[in-house]
Amino acid sequence: MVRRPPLKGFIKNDKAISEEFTSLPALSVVMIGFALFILLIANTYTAYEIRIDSIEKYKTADFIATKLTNPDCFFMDEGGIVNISLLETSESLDKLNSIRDTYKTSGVDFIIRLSWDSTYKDYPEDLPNDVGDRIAVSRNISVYLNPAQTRPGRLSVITWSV
Amino acid sequence: MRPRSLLRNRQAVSMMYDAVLFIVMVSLSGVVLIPALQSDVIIESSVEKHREETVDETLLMLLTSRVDNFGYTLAGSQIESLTGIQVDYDGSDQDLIQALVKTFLGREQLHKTYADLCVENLVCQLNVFGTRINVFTEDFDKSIREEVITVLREHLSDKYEFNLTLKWHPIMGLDFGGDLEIGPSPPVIDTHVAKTYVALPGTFFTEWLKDFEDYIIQCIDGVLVWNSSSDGLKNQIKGLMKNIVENITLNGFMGKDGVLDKCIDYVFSPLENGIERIFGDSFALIVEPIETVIPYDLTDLLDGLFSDVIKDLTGLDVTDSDGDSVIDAGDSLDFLKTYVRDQVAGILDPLFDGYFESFADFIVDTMGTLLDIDQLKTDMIEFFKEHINVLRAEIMLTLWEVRG
Repeated sequence: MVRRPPLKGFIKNDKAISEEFTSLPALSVVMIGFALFILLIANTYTAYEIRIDSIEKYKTADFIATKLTNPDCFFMDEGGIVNISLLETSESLDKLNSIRDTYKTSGVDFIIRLSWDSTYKDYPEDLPNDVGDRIAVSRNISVYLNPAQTRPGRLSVITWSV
Repeated sequence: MRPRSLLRNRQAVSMMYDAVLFIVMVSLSGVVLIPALQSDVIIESSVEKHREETVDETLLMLLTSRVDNFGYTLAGSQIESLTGIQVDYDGSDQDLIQALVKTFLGREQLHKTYADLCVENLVCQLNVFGTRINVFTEDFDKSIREEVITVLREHLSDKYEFNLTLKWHPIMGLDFGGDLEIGPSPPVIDTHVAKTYVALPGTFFTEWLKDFEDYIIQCIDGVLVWNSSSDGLKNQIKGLMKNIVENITLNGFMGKDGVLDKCIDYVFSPLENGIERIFGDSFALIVEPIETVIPYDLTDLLDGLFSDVIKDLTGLDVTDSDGDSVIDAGDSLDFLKTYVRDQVAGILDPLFDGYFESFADFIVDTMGTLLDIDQLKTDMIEFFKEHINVLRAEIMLTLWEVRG
């Protein structure tokens, strides 16, 4: 039976293979460096993603606004004037809804908000309450109310993800 | 020295050096990546694009939309400075004296487009060499300034500052016409500008412009023989143009008045009628109540206004030792008319000489000495329309971001 060395002997035992003493700090420095590097890459990527994402959403809203304020759009009059009586017909609202449907397939929904003086109106329906983050793009336009009144106003396209 | 074998090589770099090298490389990659992390080039460029669009849209909106209530008082600024009477055109209640002033001197312009109002204002100013002859419409300037500022403020948030500049100078390069500047002066850099031309509403000017085309064609057709040497041809074209410009601006042609007389009469005749209206019979009805608040005679006031204009423009003092004007308002207008005509006649030649020179050079260089008469007619009409056009006013909106 092998006799186990006493504990005291183990502590006093000087014989051992020495690990190179610089390797531990070196390893920790490398670990820290590596962590920083990963963090940097991750941050850059996330920032890029967020930026591209928000720009894409803005571009979508901007594109819808451009499309709707185009002179040949169904509710526009000459000279970039929004004719409110044309916009309020059921045909126009149907057309707007069909445009919305095409966008819904790509996960985007929108309404347009026409504001002038201190009032505003939403088309084709009021802005739902339960939507999350919204992105709005506004255009300065004139609103044709009646033959006497063409008021300076604003057309906003409010988009959100569905 | 012969290199030792790799296996036997006992020299080495400490592991710490490796680690430090690694850290240095990580830092370098950081330096490379940080601009990508912070750079907002894409966002900035879309913001720039957005601002460019905003300024275009806003100008278009201003040109197409109509004002609901608008009005101004003839000689309003003078009446206000003397009596403190200010007339509102927003439908608010007024006391008797305000209502009287509004009835007799007020000009209500309801549901007109902003563009029309601005152009009307420009045409009625009659600014000559920096002096305004029609001093009665200063209240118009004030009202239109307030109106435009309210609308633009509402549509451009506080983030932006703007400047709307309007110019109507029927003869290019000549300080004659009307100017209106709304908003502070723009900075030199980082501004977004939209510029367009608005046409004056169709008046007798429209017909005049057509006659002026016919006249140019007639002048070109009237030349019997075109010179065959290039220098001779240049001189001939220059001479012809000089003749045309003198006739269309000053002397008149085909039995019509020149552009200057036409403009002056266009503005002066309503002005003269306006004076009669303001200070004539109808005004006598309200003179009683007005005189209770105005301490002196209105006719003297009018003469005084015009003697100030004459002094500003010509440097001539037309007042006697008591400070009263020696000529009355009607004569003052005639005097001003003659003065403006004479002054313009004096500077017209040097003003246009350079243009004629380059036009003649251009024609001879491109066409040679064998003239294409039809082309020359088109070019010349285009040239004159570019330099003399009574129907065109320039409107420019400048937008910039207010920092801080």
